[in-house]
Amino acid sequence: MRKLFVVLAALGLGFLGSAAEYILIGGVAPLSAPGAAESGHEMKLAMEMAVAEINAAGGVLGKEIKLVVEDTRGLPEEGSAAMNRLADMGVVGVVGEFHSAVAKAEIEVAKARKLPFIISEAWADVLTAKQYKYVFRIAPANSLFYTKVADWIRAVGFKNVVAIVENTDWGLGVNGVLERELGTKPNIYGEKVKYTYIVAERTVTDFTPQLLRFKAMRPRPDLIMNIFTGTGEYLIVKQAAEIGLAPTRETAMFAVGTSALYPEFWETVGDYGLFVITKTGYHPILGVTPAIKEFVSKFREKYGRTPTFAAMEAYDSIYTLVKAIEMAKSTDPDDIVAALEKVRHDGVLGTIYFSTEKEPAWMYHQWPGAKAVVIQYTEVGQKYTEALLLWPAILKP
Amino acid sequence: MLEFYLAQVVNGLIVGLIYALMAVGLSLIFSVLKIVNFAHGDCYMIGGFFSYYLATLLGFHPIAAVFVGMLGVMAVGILIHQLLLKPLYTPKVERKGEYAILMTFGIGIFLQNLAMALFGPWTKRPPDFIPGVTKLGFLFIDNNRLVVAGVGIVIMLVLLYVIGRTFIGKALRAVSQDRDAAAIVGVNPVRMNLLAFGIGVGLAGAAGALIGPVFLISPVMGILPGVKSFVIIVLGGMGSIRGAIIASILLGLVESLGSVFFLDPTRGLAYKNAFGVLLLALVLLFKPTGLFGEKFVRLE
Amino acid sequence: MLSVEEVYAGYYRDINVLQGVSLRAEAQQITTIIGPNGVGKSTLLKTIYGFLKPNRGRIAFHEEDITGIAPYQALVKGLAYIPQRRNVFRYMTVEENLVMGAWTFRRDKARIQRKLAENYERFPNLARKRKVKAGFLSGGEQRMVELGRALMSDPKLLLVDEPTAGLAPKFAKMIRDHLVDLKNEGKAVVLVEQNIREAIRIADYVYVLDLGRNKEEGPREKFLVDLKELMRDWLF
Repeated sequence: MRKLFVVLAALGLGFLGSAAEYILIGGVAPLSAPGAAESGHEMKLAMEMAVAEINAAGGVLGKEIKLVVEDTRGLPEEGSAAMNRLADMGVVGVVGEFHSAVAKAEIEVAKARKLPFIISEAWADVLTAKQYKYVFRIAPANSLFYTKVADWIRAVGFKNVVAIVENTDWGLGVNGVLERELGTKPNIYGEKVKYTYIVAERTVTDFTPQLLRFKAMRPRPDLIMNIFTGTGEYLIVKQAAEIGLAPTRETAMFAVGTSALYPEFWETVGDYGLFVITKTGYHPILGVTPAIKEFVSKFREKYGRTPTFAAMEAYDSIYTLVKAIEMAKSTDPDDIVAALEKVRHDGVLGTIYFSTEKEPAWMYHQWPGAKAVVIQYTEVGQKYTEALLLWPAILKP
Repeated sequence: MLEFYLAQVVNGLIVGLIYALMAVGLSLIFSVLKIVNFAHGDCYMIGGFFSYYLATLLGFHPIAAVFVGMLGVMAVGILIHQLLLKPLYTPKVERKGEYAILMTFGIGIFLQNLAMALFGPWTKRPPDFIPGVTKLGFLFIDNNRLVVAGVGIVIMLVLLYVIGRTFIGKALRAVSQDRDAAAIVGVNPVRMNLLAFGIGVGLAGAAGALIGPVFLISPVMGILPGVKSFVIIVLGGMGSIRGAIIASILLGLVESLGSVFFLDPTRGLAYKNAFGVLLLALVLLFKPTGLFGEKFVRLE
Repeated sequence: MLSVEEVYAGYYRDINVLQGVSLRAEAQQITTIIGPNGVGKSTLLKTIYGFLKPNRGRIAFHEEDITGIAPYQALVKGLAYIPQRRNVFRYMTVEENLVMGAWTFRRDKARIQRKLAENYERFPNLARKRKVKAGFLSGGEQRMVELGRALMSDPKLLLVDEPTAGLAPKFAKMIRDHLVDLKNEGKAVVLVEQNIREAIRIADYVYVLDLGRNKEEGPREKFLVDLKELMRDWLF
């Protein structure tokens, strides 16, 4: 009896979704704990902005777009529940997600329920490496991006690299790429790079014991890879500085997570953030396209904060999906997938398109255009857009 | 290498002290009201945000903000008690244990989401108590942690004095040991409950306010410390203040040293939060009432 | 001094254990309540002291209506209550226990000291063990702590519920002697007792309750004769 009711409810919602005068698009993002809610909220804001703009310009296929963003709380089970709820509501496609572990659960629902899904900001290779027909990704795959970061580490000549890795699919994925890349290739001086790492839960707030251990290591590490996001990322920066470990003459600090780009970075770490190194997929020196300029100023005007990479990805995800719907002239999932494989959207981050190559495996339905930029803060309170560009080196020796 | 271990010990002691502030509050509430306050971690979080805004918006000195923040959380506690917990003492509520669990759990979820809505999900950092780092011989200690230790010890000593030496403290203990007998000698138990709840959550608030500049604040900051304080009061013996203090210091040390002595150093931090539970399991195996627990805890 | 008029009370809303009980107690008298188990003797004391609110009826003390008063207020009016259940503060010392009895006048240090001294004179055992945690005392000594604690506030009326239950005969006698002393000092004592023979021996006036109602009452002499009959009544 209950089952029947659920089926009826689903049918009812589906009916509303298709027959109504609007097209329903789903969003998934961590909006509360234990997820990285700070990033999830930023993505949600960007999605809402994109939808508002598209509707102001007349919508798609003559219909208004409605966006429903579901909270995945950074939990895989919540992620798949959210995807199923969206499918029940009759969304024509889904964009978003921040946590790889959650996305891993979500792609299974996308596959089972034939939901075109553009992953905005989850990086684990496996998400596209599974080569699901309905899954696309704008965020760079870990391998795509961190191979370049590893290149930088070797090019600078670091020899003793240590890492604190958050125990998530993203963190372990990044760690895997670095371990592989640094373990197999020597640095610029032909020396072997020693890479040591420790894994910690996202909930840890006191890293001091391990940082003290790094400080006591001989030879002392010359680079700390802070493979964390959110509060943990800030705390590692702060606590490493407090014990006089990094950033110092002997040891550099590389904050890998996106949170190092937020204004909260300075608010939380203060002076300790000076000379911290981080990475971004976007930097003005790569060429400030009018699209980026426009997006940044619109976003700032609307929400009063400088958007990061994650916001741009979420924004582009919506536009790309809508453009595919327009090309397909249909909301049938298979038509949308066919259109996504052909779409070229001039977005904020560049021209978005999806590769159909199957080698390497993670390249399938992946946007290959993501750029990796290593930057360093040279002033307290600096915006990441004004930070010093370290890599790729513009002038090679 | 000695310096390394010494640094770990100092770190463990300071963290243990913060645990102690929280756990003693929880223990006090448990022993007087006979309920477990599942909103304890969220009161800790509220304390962090109160003192953050007191310092950044109203210009309080960060240390003064801790104390005013603590009073603010006490006020919240009093409000919660008067509005939501008082039905516990009337015959209207029959399953008091369940009522208290559901109620405090709900309050916790509410506070967390309220904070998310009011303050946003972003991590914030209250201003430093004293900026910089102190070098004690070969030890580097963040000045904020020194302040945490100092203020924490002061609060703890005042509390121990109040509980142990004053008439009010005696009345609190009297209610915790025998509620009816306390009423017989003229103590108004409902008033003592209010006092214990206020002080208890106030201590959590003070811990959250103190830890802000060290571990940063966010709406979810209280979840783990909340869980840890449950571990601590079971470890120390339900309702024992002394047990809670000793178990807190113990947990701080075990976590700090455990994560560096762990057999596989790459996983040490990953298991950090498990050490407390492991310690708990071991202690309960040999002493089921906790370190300083009474044989019977009457839940009513 | 105390008058209970037609009181109905119980633990659940619609089930009255007491069904119209009346009772009077006077100064310099021990008023004893006897009756089989479960007829509401303890319930009556609890209702007088305010642990239970009567559904009907009136309780007055010195002509003042104290019906439905809260327990912590009853003490201020001059009542004291010693329940049957052991109720010392187990983890406090004997002295701390006694001092708790002075809660309502906690600022008056001189009075506290005076009352403490009186108690130690009355109970020399307790004087010797003043620093011992009450939980470590024998049952009889714990009763003395409870009695001493109740006396701290100078009550006019003591409600005492089976004070000798479970005590060695030596201690039981000591407790009864103390109750007689208190009566002679001018206090009113309302006593619930299981040991009917002893209860009637020290009583001045006796009430018999049955099924929540008054069954019989009268001065002690009346019951000295009828005791056998009374017992037979209960047994069959």
